Amino acid sequence: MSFNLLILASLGYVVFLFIVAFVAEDRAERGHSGWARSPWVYTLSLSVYCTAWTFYGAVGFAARSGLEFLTIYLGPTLVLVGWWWLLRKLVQIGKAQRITSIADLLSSRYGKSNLVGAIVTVLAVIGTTPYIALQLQSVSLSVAAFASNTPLGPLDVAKTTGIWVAVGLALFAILFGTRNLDVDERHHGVVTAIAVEAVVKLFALIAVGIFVVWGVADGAADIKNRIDASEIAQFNVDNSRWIGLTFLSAAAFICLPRMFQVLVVENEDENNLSIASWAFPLYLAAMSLFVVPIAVVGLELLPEGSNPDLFVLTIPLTQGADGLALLAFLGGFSSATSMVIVAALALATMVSNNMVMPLYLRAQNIGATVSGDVRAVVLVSRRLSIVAVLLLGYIYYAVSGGTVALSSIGLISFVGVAQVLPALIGGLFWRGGTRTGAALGLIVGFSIWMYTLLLPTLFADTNVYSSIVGDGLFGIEWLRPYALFGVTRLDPIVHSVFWTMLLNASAFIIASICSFPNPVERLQATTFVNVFDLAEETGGWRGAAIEAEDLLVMAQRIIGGRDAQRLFTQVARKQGKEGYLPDITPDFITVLERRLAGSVGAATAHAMMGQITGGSSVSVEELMAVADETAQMLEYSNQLEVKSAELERTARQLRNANEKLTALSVQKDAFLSQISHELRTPMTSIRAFSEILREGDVNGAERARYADIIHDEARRLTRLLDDLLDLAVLENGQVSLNIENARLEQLINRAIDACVNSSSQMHIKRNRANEAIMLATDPDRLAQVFINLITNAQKYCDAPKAELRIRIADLGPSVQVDFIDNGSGIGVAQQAVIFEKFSRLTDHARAGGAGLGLAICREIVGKLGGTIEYLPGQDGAAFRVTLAKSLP
Amino acid sequence: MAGLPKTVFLQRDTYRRRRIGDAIKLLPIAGVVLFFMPLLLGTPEQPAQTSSLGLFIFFSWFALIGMSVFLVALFNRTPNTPRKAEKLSAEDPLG
Repeated sequence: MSFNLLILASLGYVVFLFIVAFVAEDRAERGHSGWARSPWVYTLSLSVYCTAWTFYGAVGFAARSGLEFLTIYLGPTLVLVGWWWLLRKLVQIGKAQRITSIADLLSSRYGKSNLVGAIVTVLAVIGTTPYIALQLQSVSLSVAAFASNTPLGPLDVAKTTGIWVAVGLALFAILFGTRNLDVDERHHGVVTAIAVEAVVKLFALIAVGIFVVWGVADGAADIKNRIDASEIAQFNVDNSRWIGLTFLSAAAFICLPRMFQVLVVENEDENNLSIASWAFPLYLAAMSLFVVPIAVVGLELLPEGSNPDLFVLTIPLTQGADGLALLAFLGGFSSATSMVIVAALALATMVSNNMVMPLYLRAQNIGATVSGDVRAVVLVSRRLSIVAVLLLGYIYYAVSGGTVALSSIGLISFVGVAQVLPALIGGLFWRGGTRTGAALGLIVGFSIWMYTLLLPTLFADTNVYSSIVGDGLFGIEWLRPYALFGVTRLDPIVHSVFWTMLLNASAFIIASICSFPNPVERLQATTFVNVFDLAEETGGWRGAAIEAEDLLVMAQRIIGGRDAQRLFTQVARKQGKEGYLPDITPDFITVLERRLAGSVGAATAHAMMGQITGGSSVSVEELMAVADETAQMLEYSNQLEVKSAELERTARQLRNANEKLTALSVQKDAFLSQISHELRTPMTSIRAFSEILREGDVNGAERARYADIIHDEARRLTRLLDDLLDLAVLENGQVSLNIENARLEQLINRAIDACVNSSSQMHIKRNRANEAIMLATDPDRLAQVFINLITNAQKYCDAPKAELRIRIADLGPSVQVDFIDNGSGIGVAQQAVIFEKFSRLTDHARAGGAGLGLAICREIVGKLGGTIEYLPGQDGAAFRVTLAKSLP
Repeated sequence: MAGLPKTVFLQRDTYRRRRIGDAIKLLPIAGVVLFFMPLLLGTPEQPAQTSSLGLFIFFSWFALIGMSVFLVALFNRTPNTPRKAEKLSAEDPLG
């Protein structure tokens, strides 16, 4: 195949990608980003995980160590199917906090700390640069593989390719990555182009796989035989490597800057994640399905010593399948370019937001005036950062000259970025993680990674380092980079993973426990760890665009109402608007925040500026204010709740009191009418008979009878008045009790003697054995109660053979005395009123009393510290008197 | 805000969603067991075969993906919150 055709095809492909990105960007700008937001594009964009290292290197990896290459895919698979654990929260936080990169995430979590952000940025740049170099190298190598018959040597071709690829990628990243400063840091053009590249590389690898299995070999069964016959037929995997690499790839999947970019920053919809949770593992499985067959066939077909990293390309080439080789080349090219574009974009965002902008802003703050659009500065700094990152990658590639095997650099890079993991996981799930802890953990992990992995690999050839590797630093044996503290049984990568993770996490935890976070850190810790609770609380607010009014409210809170209003009016007038609320422009925010710095100090304003440079217009203070407001509202609503409960209680009490008063009023009316009635009846007869007597024409016998009647009625009146008086005294509490010790038996005897006379036919049943109880009480009053009860029984018991049982129950501190007759008892409706005044059950004549007896009884028993109640369900009327044995 | 009152009793759908979430949480654990299974197979003298173990891993892989598809579909089919459901039905009287 001609080399020119290859160049032509590549250029055509690049133009096609530019067009795709341009169209997607254009559609997004016009609000038609429907399909660019679909879960499928999101899933495909995750394939930046599969770099050229995956595309070419996986086959090389498999050719060297068999199935072990799978660990690189199994880790991400576990992370994705377990999205509920981590990714869901990460995406939620990314949205809520408008996170722009993984450095931004950690910086934001640890109190908007520039320090943490800068450390992560440095780590990411150092970890990613070799990886970018690796991509350039792989493209150059693959071009060189086609270039064997060109006038230029393969080496020259490779060098030139490296430069042009780097320039092209920088152009693409700048064009579509920093077109404008998006509020949400989403790049539809880039994401769509990457999705297209994802399809191309999957298609290419599967095409090569199918060609190998059904074209070169003789189908699946033949491939199985070939695998069994090959040098990788046996599963010779070291346990620690299998577990360690799976863990490492899982960690890297989360921590790699480019993965974070597509996974979290470019995520538009949480729902996309749920689809990607199975769709991306499927993609990975498809990508790795044909790796072992290609490796085995490559080992068989190609001469000893040929680079297994290029089998994907060289097998079709040697078999004369030029078209397929071209496709494979484009697949590898796609893998490399998509990785470099996203990585450069992610790194540029980090470098510009966490290093350049803070420095720039600090420099500007020192100067007397700050003017101009910060956004322009951000864009310039991002563009320069992209160029710098790619330049760094190219320099690394040019200097290292592609000496290290593809897969080893990939893994070393993974270990480097995985250093972010402890601070990340700790920050997401542990409120106690602090900035000091995060910074220390990162630095410890980073240093150990450099010492045990990166430097030994880079400087393996130099004398100094080979002696360190052999004998340890300063000749101390337990400081040997590959056998730290004498751990010799782990392979270098796993060894480094083990020590970095262990010491990094330990430093993070211990330093976090020992340090004390500042308020912003604590606020951020809460917002991160409880992101789901808070999203429910204040969900509508953060998603909404920032409002001038919100800013005014915040500004008023910080610099005072009059000043804030003056400032806002000024800005509004400058913009040609009336009123207090100007449009939110970068200029305005700059002015406002500089003003705020005068009141709350530069640190806060600095953090606010950091927020703008992060592309988000929500500032720390506002978050503070929101949290504050939420807390206040919560407290306020709690107070309201308490108050309303109190009011409710009071209202209930008032309602009860009212009911009681109404009832009392009714009772009083009834009482008055009753009493007039009661007084009037005897009065009437007394008047009538006394009138008859006055007229004088009555005989002696009649006179005597009338006088008797008058006497009786007068006595009845007296008794009634006595009772009333008695009751009044009792009710008013003016009664004086004459407390002495008395035997219950005697009291009952006395009561019975007073009531039972010859005319009574009532039989009284008692159990005297139970009655031998001493009571401290007023004997006269209590006897009065008993008498009343016995008399009532005599009056009302309607049984042919009337009978009254007096039952005593000793309850220890108190005693129950029941009076139970065998009559028909009292109806339920009447049970409720029998203790009221003037309540009489049946006809007056039979009762012969005023109906005050039980009311008086109740008062007396109450005064004696006991109760009297009607006892239902006893085959007759039954009253229970409960008395304390000794008065309180 | 640790002091936020948490609801003890949830709507049926919300409860269901949380339990599906629990099931999704179990998937990576199942994945770890399956993916680390090859380490337990074979003996030093007679190591396991790459071809058969490869098949085993891919089989596990697809099983895990299948479970994930199933659970995610189940999750997305269960209505999100009762409030949202009410809102939907209020907007669309036929739905």
